Amino acid sequence: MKGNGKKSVLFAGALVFAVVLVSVLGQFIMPCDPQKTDLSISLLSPNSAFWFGTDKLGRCIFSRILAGAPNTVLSAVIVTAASFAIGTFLGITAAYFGKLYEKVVMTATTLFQAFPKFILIVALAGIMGTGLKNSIIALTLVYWVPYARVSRSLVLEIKHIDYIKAAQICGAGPMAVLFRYILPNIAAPLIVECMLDIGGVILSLASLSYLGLGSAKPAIEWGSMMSEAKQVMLQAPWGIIFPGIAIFIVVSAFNYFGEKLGESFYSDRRKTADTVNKGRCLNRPEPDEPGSSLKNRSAKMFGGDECQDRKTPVK
Amino acid sequence: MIKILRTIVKTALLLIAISLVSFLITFLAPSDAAQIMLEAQGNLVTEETLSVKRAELGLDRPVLVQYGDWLGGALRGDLGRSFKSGKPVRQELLNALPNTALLTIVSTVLSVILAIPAAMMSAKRKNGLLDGALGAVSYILISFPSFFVSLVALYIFALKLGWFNVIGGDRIRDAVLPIGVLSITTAAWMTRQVRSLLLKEYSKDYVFACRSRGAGEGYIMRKHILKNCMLPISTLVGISFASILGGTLIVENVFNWSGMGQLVMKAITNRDYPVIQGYVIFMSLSLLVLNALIDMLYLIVDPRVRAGTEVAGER
Amino acid sequence: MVAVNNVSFSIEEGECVGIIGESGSGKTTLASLIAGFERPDSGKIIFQGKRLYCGQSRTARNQRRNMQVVFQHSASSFQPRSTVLDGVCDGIRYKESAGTAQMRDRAAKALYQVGIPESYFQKKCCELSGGECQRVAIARAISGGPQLILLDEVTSALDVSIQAQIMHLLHDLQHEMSMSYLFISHDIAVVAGLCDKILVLKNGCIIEAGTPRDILHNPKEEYTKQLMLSVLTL
Repeated sequence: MKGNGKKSVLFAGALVFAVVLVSVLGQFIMPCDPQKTDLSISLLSPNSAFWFGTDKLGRCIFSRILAGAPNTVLSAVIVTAASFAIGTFLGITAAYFGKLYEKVVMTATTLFQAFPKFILIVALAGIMGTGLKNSIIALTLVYWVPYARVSRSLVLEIKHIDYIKAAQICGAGPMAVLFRYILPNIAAPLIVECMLDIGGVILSLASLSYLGLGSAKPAIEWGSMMSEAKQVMLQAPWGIIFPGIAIFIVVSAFNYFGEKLGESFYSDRRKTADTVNKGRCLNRPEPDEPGSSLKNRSAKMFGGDECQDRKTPVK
Repeated sequence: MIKILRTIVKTALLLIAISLVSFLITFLAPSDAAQIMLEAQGNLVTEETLSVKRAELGLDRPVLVQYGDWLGGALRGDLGRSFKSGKPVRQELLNALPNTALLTIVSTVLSVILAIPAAMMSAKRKNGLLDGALGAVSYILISFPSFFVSLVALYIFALKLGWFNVIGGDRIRDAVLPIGVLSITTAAWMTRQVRSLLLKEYSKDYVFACRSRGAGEGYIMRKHILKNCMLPISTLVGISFASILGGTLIVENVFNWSGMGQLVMKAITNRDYPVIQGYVIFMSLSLLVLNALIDMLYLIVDPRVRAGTEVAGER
Repeated sequence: MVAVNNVSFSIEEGECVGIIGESGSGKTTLASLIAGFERPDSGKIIFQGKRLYCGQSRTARNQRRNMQVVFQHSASSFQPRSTVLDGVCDGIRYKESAGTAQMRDRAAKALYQVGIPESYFQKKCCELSGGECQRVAIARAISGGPQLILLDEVTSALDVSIQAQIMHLLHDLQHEMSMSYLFISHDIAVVAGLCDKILVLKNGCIIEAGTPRDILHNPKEEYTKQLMLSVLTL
């Protein structure tokens, strides 16, 4: 079973790698110029010259999808990396140092979670102005929260384990303890969360650009391509179908990888759980959450379960 | 009793914090209210006119003072006036509210009605044909952006089959597609989550005990599994509601449904900050109220939560 | 609830002080207080002439440069993925600025001292048996040349025969390196063999103190007598 598990993780990882590779390098192997307009060949259905057809300005859709890929995929990676870094840092320091700092960070997370996610993203992006940079900022400001909460609860679990105390008595300072002893041992579920999140970020980015809040023209983005294509949907549905499928492929690849990672981690965890449990200090305090917020309760209920989806749906 | 009071107090504090954040968001904008109003009224924008307008609007006062002022008004129900139309924000929101409320409330209820039986059937015959089919369909639905699903629905049912009009007409008929898309995409996500909850519950010891006592599957499902999962499911309903609120932004756009989503998108184009602010607050308030109700449901229903102890039988 | 109540004692240089008591008597809390993981409500802890602060501040850490701890469950006192050599290097890494090669040499020396051969150096700590892992933990503790080691139930999770080996090792090390020990256990037999002075702890208070001979043969308190009775062989 373990062998099979590792294999599917590798396979899923290879898929993700292939997707990212195509996204980054695809722009160099485009058959046509994605910006070249030619009204005489507008709205052609897929044929041998234009594999995905042309849009209403006669531009090659296939090339435009390849050209728009870096925008979507790389931006999603940036958002995920940034929110992971910020959220995890805040979460682990909050759990480790505690006291007022922890209360402040946790209140901030509760606050951000009180807003409906997509609405806050749109409001932020809308107010800051259009542009990819603002979309990235808006998404990061919303997506950091789960990392903070999850990493904090993970740290609270292992904070009182002997090897942390051993490191402390050896003289390791707080930063050494956090980054050398704590972070590597809580990284796995966080990485799984990352992979599952990237899919969500891509969907949010596409939705933002569909609504007109993404990059300004002439930058190419899948969401805005589909929004333009809506007007001529009856004559040329391929303008919507192909970018949609592109999004689907990228999102599925990351989701699948996240799922497989999560499964392999969960089965590993079951095995090491017993050895770790033995060593726990008897007077380890419970993470105290008087009047637990809903999200924290749901995190406890859903932790380490079969369903590896994102814990919140994404529009 | 005390816990209920605590929930209410926490909710009220959160509400104030939400209002503060919503108020502060507008300061992220590149241009301020004075500039926008001057431009909207076609006036000249110079340093002089700006500073005069700012003084008139009270924008030169410290931020907290401005917030206090605004909060005072908000508590009385006055959310300011739209930059564009000059009408009270509250009025604009209330005008658009019924249409959006129809979408959100019906979609939330429908998604629950769809998801729970689907999850039950999936869980009962795990890895069977139905489980596989439902799993595949829901996996696909959650990997496409909701605007894509909406566009496809529009294409198939409105354009090709002609069952619905693309542009306005009979209100109830027009609501079918947006509600359909919202409920089905949300139900897809919820089915997966509920299925996983049910399976987790199935694997618990007491189910084995029930079966060996001769209890039938249906009995076990109804009397035990569902009852025990009711609370986590209500958490899911809260999350779904948040997602549906965000989803209205998309579906109202695609299906040309004039509700609050359309209102705020226009406001974004017009840089009409008071409307955006009012929208964010209103939506967050709705979500907050629902979550508070769910929190209270937890307090009332689950004696273990009331006693403040960890859930029995789980590590 | 008071875990440690009015406890006052001292450890001389090179002395081994044993603390015995049942679970809940406050032994581990005492160790936590000395190690700085918890803050005493009143009273002070003086180590090498200085009054100790608790917590993770630089001062607190510096004050405890010459103090080490060995825990009960050796497997969980090392990171899951750390190798034997790496784990022992932790004992030196933060106390002095030695180069990597030097650090590894000293770690290797400590491992030889506790009887762990070179073939074990690259194994993961979780692959070792209880006794071997506990030796590695001891190696980590001595690698920095400490003056005081707190040993919290270090043999309680081991088989009886392994217990004896570890006790001998600790005894030899103490004399080789002239360290002091604070040896905490619930097992009187183990404590008696190693320690110069024994304190009996009950409900957070020291109810009796004396040499092993005194405690074993002339227990004064009722509780101590009961503890002696519970030992089947001596």
